[in-house]
Amino acid sequence: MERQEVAIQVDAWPEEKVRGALSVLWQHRELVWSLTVRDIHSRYKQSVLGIAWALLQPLAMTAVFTVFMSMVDRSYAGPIPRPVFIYIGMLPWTFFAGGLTSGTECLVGNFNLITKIYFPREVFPISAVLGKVVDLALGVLVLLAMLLMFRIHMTPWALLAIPVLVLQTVLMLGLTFILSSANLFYRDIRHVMPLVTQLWMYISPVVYGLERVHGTILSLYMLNPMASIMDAYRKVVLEAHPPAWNYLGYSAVVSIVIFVVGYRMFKKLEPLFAETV
Amino acid sequence: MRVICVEHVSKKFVLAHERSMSLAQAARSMFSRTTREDFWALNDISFDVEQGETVGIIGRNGAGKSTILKLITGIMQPTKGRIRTRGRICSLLEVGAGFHPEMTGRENIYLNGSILGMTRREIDSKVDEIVSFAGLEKFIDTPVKRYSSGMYARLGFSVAAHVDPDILIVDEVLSVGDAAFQAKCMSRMERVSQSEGRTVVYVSHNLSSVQALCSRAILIRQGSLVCNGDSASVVAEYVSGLEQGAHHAFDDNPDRSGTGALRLIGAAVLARDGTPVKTLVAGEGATFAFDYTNPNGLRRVDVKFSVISSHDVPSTNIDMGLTDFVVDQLVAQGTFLCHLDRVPFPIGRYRVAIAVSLAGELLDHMPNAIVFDVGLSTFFPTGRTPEARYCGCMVDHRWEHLVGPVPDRYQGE
Repeated sequence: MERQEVAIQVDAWPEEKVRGALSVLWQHRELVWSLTVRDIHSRYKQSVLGIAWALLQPLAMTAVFTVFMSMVDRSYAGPIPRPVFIYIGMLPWTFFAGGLTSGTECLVGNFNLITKIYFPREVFPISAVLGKVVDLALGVLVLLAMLLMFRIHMTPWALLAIPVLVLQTVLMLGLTFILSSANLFYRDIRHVMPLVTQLWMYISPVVYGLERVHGTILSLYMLNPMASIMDAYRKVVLEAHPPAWNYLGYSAVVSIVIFVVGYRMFKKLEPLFAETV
Repeated sequence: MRVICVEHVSKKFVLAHERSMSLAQAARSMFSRTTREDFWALNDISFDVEQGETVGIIGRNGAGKSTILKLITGIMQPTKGRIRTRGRICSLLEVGAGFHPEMTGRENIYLNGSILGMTRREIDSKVDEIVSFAGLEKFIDTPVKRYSSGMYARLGFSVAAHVDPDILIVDEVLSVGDAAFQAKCMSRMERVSQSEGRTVVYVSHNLSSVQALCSRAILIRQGSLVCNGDSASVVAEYVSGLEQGAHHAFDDNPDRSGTGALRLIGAAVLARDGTPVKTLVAGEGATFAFDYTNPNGLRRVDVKFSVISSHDVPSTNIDMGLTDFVVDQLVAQGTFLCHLDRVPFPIGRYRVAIAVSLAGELLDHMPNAIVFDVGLSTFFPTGRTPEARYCGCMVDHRWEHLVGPVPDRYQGE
C-alpha cells in the first residue's frame, strides 16, 4: 500500500515550521483541491442557474457599463466594439474582486476546521482564490465566443495574457494572506472589502482605457499595480500590442513583494488563529 | 522509539472580555488599560509516548485535556516548552469536520478524507470499506443534508476510522451513534491500537473505555499532571480525587458551567431521618437536597440530576419535568428536595451531576456535584445487590415456577 508521509513537526519555534511550509503545502495539494471543489459546490448548488451565475456577473456588469459609458463617453472611437472592450476588463476584475472577497472570509468561514484539525492554513486562501479560477475559465470561453462574433483576430501576443494572469493571481494571493488573517482579528475588514473593491475598480482601467488617463496624473495612477495588469490584458488580447513593459515590471515587483510579505505575516500569525477565531 | 515528546509545556490564554475586537475597540484599548486576565490552561506538563502505545488522558472538564491534544496536533502552539512528534498525525477532535451539507456522502468522504490527510488514491481504495462500515450503502449518493444526525456522525467516524496515521489522536468522538455503532467503534479502536501497532492518544470522560483501551493513562488536574502510570491505577486515583473534590458547598467547584443567573450553593444526601450522610442504604428512603441562591428573582426553573456509577454509567436521571413539579414563586434562597422512597442503586460509589435550566437555557451545571456511597442494602430481603457494572437501578420483581406442558406461545413465529 502506498502511503504518503507527511511529517508535521510541531515545535515551539515557529521559524522552524516556516522553512518546511512550501513542501508541506505541496504535500497537501489534494486537500487544496478538495476545499476548492467544496467552495464551488457551496456557491452554485441549489441555485437554478447553477454555474451560469459565474458568467452572469461579468456579463451583466459589462452590459451596464456599456450603456453607461456610451452615454458618458461619446467620443469613444476605438476599433474594438465597446462590449468586448469592457468585458476584457470586467472578466479579470470579477476574478480579482471575487477572489479577494471570498479570500477575506476564508479563515473565519472555516473556523470549525481551524480549531479542530491541523494542516498548513495557507490552503484556505489558496483554495479560495482557486475556486474563482473556475468562474474565470468559463468567462474566458464567453470571451472567445465574443471575439469570434465580432471577428477580432488574436495574435501570438494574446498568449502573454497567461503570465499576466499568473501575476494577478500572485498579487491576489498576497493580498488574501493579509486580508484573511487581518479579518480574524478585526472583523471590520469584511465590511470594508466591498467598498474597497468597488472604488479600486474605478481607479483601474476596467471600464475605460488607459489612454483616458493623461499627464501628471498618469504616474500617480500607475502606482496601482492592477492598472498595468488590466491594461495589459486589453493590449495583448484585443490590440495585438505588447504591454507597457515598464509599468508591468513595476506591478510584478509590487505583487511579489506583497506576496512575500503577506505570506510571512500569515505564517507568523498562524499559531494564533485557533485561539483567535 | 518515542513518537510524542512533551517537554515542560505550559499554555497561557488571555481571557479578554471581547475576543474579536473591532478597530475602534482596538484603538481604545491602546489608550485605556483594559484588565486582561492570564489563564494558564497547562502548567509545566511533560510526558512521552512510545510508538505503539495507547495512552488515555483523563481529568475533569476544563482540566486542560483538549488543550494538550490541540498542542500535540499543532492546532495551537505552547507558550512555554516544546512538543516534538514523529510521523503522520490524524486528529479526531470532531467527526465529519468540514462536511459540506450540499455534497453527497461519497463526495464528503473524499473531502473529509483529504482534510484528515489521506491521499486520493488511499481514499479510492478504501471508499467501499468506509461506506459499509458506516452502513450507508443506500444513501451514499444523497447529499448529507438529508442525513439524520446519527448517519452524519457514523459517516464521519467511519472516514476517520480508516485513516491510516502513525499517531491517532481521539477526543471523545466515540460518543456518537447508537449503542451498536459505538460498540463497533470501540472494537475498531481496539484493533487500531493493538494489532496494528499504532500510537493512540485518547481523551475521554468514559473511564471504563479508557481502562479497556489504554495501557497507560495520564491524569490532569487544573492544568497540572497529577499522575502518569498504568490506566487502572490512574483511573482509581481520579475516582478517589472526585470524592475529595466533591465539597458539599459549591463555591470552589471549578467544574461548573451555565449562565449563573441562579446558582446552586450546596447539596446534600439525607437519610430518612433528615441527617446528611455519606453512605446510603439501598431499599431505604433518602432525600437529595439542593440549596440555591436566586439573586435575579427568577420565577421558575427546571432542576434535573443524574446519579452516575463509578463505571461512569448513568444509573438514573431525575427531572422536575417528569412529574410536572413546578415552583411558581422562587425565593432569594431556598432548597429543592427530591425524596426517594427506596434507594434503588446497587452497592457502590456514585456521583451526582446536576443541571438547573430555565426555558432550555443552562443556568448552572455541575457534572461532579456530590459523591455518595451505597454501603448496605435492604432492597431485597437477602441484602444482596447486583454488581453495579451490570445494573443501574434495582427493580422490584418476583419469580414464579409453573409445572406442566409449555403453553403454546410461539405460534406464528
